[in-house]
Amino acid sequence: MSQYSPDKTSNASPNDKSHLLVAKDIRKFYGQHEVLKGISLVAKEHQVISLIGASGSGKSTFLRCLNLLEIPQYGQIWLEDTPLPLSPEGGTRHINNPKLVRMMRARLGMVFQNFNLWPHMTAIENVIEGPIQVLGLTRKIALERANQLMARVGLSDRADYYPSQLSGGQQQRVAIARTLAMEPKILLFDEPTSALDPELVGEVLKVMQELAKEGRTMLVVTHEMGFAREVSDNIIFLHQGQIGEQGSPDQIFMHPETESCQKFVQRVMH
Amino acid sequence: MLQEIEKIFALLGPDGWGGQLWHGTRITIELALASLILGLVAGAGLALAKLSRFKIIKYLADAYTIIIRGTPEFLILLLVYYGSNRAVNYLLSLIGLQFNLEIPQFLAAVLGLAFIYAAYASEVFVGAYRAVAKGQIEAGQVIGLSRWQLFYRIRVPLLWRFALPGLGNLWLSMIKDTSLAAVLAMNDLLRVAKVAGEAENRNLLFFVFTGIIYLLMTAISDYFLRKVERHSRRFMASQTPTKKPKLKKPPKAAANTPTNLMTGEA
Repeated sequence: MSQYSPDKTSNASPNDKSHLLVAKDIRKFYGQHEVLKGISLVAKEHQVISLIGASGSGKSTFLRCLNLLEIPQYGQIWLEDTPLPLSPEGGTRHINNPKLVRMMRARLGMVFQNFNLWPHMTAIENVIEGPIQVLGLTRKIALERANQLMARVGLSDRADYYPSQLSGGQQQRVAIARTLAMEPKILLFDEPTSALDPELVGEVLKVMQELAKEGRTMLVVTHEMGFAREVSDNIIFLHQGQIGEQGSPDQIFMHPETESCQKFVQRVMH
Repeated sequence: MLQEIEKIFALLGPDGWGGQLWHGTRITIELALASLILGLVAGAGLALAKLSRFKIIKYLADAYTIIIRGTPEFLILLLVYYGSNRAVNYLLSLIGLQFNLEIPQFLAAVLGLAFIYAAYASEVFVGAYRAVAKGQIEAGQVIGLSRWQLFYRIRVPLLWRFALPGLGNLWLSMIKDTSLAAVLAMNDLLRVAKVAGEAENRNLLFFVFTGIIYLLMTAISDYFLRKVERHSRRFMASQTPTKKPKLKKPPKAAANTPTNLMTGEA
């Protein structure tokens, strides 16, 4: 078996203008256990990157490191040239500049596996919360925009429903509208269809497909191999906290080089 | 028999002890309400202290709760009453004022009850704070809400649902604990009943009547607590809404309307 060469992104310059998001050598420990063993990634504008791999391979943890929901002990992240403000590398690393992190998070949209809509707000209230509280829009303008977004995800008629009155697929589409309302530069999807009943997966993937077609920059952690293959420009296969292999969908799914990736692809495609 | 009933009505009526019993009831209610408000505010503060990142503040708040929970309520009231008098006069003497200020009984009783309520309420608040799903806070973090916004826009509205049942139980205990204030020579409901019972040599009658009044107060509280609790859960699926929701019934045909490409496969 040919050994996969170390990833090509590790010497990418964070100063390249087309590089929206650069992560370099991200390492994350839970106690003694190293869950991420040095992962680097470059997301260029309009690129859709899918992160695949067995559960426990660190896909979601890596994604959560990118907006600092988890703080990696080692490594640096740049969003449009600006490094995320983290204290020096080591055991108890923390956020140095919370205000700057808030601004950066607002530009990194995230969609969760469990939707995480706020149950005490109606769908439309969920969508206008960020624009009003963080972007400082007036309620009127925020509502106008939110209504457009609700239409785009096909839920105009559900604006005044509480999340508990919506199906999983509808909730996830509201969550996507909530994320889009912040007009983020990059969209992070953390297994957006994993909590859905099979018959509801399609409607969410369809919305995501539309977003990819629009030229949105997207990072998608997913188990939906059909989606990853069809929509992604680039696929990263994570294996035991490291990048096992990365390349075009064709390479990963048709001609995987590493044994671990071959095994994984065989398992999930049949 | 009829005579006996007439006599009871006379004793409890406005020409008998009715006026004083009513007055005692009002004192009891005022005491409980004032202690509730003070206790809720102090309890919320205490809960924040317990959740503080600063270990010393957390330990102090924990110690306070341990002390209050491990001491009889009766004793706490006595300590607050006599202790606060001493403390206030000592503080006054420090700034050179030598007069014997007496803390009003009402204030001492409210302080004592609020101290007790705060300790228990803080535990309820801490539990409710932690019961709010982490994902809902994260959803706020990733759109860039500040710590304060996360707190008052997401955390607080969501924690009532978990806090109200516990706080309601504490309120019912407090209504009953107000009777301890009788020991501070307050003319609360129980004390009036005792005085009246002794004066008329009808202890049992007045105590039973007083019990009914306490029961009434707790029953009315219970009714409103249920309403408030239901309101705090209004957005949950399992809950039948109190009012008809402003939402229209989901139209059955919605999935088939070709409004746009995302609603269905068609």
